[in-house]
Amino acid sequence: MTGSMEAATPPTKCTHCHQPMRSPVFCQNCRVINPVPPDTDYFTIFGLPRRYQLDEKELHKRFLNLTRDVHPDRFATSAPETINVTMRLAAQVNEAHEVLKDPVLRAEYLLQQAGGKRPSEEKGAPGGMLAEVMELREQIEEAVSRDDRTALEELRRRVNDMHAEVQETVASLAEAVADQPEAEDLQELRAYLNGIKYVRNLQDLLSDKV
Amino acid sequence: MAYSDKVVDHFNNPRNVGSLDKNDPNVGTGIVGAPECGDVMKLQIQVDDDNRVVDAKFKTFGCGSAIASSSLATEWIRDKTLDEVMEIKNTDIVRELSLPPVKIHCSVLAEDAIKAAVADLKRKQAARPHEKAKEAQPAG
Repeated sequence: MTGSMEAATPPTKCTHCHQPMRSPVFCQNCRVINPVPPDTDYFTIFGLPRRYQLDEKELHKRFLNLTRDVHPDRFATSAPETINVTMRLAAQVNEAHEVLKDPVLRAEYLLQQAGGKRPSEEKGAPGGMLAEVMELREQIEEAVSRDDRTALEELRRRVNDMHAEVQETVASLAEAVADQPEAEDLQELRAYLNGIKYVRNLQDLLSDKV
Repeated sequence: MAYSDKVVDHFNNPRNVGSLDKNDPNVGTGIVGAPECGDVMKLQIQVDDDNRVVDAKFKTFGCGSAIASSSLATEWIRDKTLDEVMEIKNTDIVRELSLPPVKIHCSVLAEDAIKAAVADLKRKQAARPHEKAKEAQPAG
């Protein structure tokens, strides 16, 4: 698994000036853009380690720099092929950023990269979670019908705690999957990512009501 | 996207909304979810001594099609034996409600909920070996 991933990694040195590159799509030294395969790893695009934990400020900084560096407007006078490449790269950088900046999408990405299943293929949620979500929904419904603000506030606290807990489990599982994907971790991460969707729906429901 | 008249009818007048006592030995509870959209569905069945469904209730938090699918499911499973209940397919629900392709997963959810409720009931029954043995004996 790791072998094939390394094989797909684009060069880390500029093919033009042979200087090390932070991002494989743009050389800061000779300011040359470098087309990379469409399936280039999102972390690699930003020159970040393939880990779940990431410095969000650093990601944002690199995103802004890259967006500026490969912006098609900067190449307005270049050959049409070059402009096409920059447009493709800009889209790739955008997509990678959208996924990596969101903790859930980032975990989902690591799961898919490691060969995990999609939610439609494996629908299970962690044991007991659906029943708990169902009960919370019923309690929210009741509190809304009584217009019980105190109860809703309490329910919101419970749901937020639940979200934090699931998020923590997702983080540790995603880290394990990024490091060394074991079948068991893949399955469990799938279940928790399924689960977090229900909890987020509860949060949305509460933010509408409270 | 327009809902069919039957979906709208079930959505506006859902049949059998509510809960049964999940601790009742004759009640089976199925709670299922669709992780793609976050819909959650609870379907409960109550059987008599001949394993015929005498009551069915549901609670669904989801879109109109999910509500209609589970509402229709509770109507269909009433007065059926568990074996007959297990024969209900999501495609039957799709046909009855004229669900469009993007809403087929709602009918799948309803079928899963029926199966989960039956499985829960059978688990409960299996945990009562005494009565089970009595039932298994030929009459007379």
